[in-house]
Amino acid sequence: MKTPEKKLPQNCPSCNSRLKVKKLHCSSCSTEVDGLYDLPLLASFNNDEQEFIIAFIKASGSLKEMAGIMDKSYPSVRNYLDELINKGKQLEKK
Amino acid sequence: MKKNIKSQLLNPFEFIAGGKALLIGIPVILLTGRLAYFSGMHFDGVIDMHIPLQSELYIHLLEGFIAWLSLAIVLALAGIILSSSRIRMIDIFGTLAFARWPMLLVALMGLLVNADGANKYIMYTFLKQGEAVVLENYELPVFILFIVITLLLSIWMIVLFYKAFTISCNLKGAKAIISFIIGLLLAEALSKLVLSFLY
Repeated sequence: MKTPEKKLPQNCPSCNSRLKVKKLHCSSCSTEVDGLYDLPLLASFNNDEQEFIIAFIKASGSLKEMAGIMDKSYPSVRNYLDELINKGKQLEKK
Repeated sequence: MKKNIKSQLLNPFEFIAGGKALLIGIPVILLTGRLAYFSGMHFDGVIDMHIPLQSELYIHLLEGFIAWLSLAIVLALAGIILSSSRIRMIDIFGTLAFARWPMLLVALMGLLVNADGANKYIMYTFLKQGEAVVLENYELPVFILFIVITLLLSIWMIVLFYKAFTISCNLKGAKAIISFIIGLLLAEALSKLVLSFLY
């Protein structure tokens, strides 16, 4: 049976506030780091958005190349990027 | 998002824009004008279609280009003023040229119907104007079907205009709808003004 894909929760299921990282664990030596860290901005995007951002960096920021990869038109890709930019700005304000 | 037929028909600009759309759109406008020349149809305005009046070929060809450029120029200006995105002119002009392709179907259908006869028949029967015309039994129903399909294709073309505008200029919601309606009306007036110099 396929195990369901785990998603990093970003907001508190109880009060919907943004979550912070409390504990980090090394799967190799079991060291644990306890603290209070902010989630990086990139982690606030969903999986599809993160994949797009990484592919965009790999394409040297070329929207034309991204349009080819995604099989979409140039303005569609640019509009999607603009959506992500706006989302990033909103997240930074929080 | 997978390409399905519905999204390709209603919103082809999600997949095609810019130079590619222009490379399809310009031959579409030329071919529409060429076919309209044979049937005597006129696409004399952004969303206009009139029948039938035989003119020189260049008139039929220019009508399509004037209609396309009038809308593209007005909506490009709207995009520059209203959009916060970096818009490309080639997307606006290309997608709006491509969006005229339902008129190619209208021009094709125009070759199959006796629009001139049906028009004269309607004018004489209902408005008592012109001369009496005898039509074959099937010609009037075919003409009415042609008008209904033309109306549907015109609506489809306007939907494509809207999609071309919103995708090329990255506009949404009320801002997109209001600016599109105003732009369409202004472009229609502009095209009529330019066409008045042609006749």
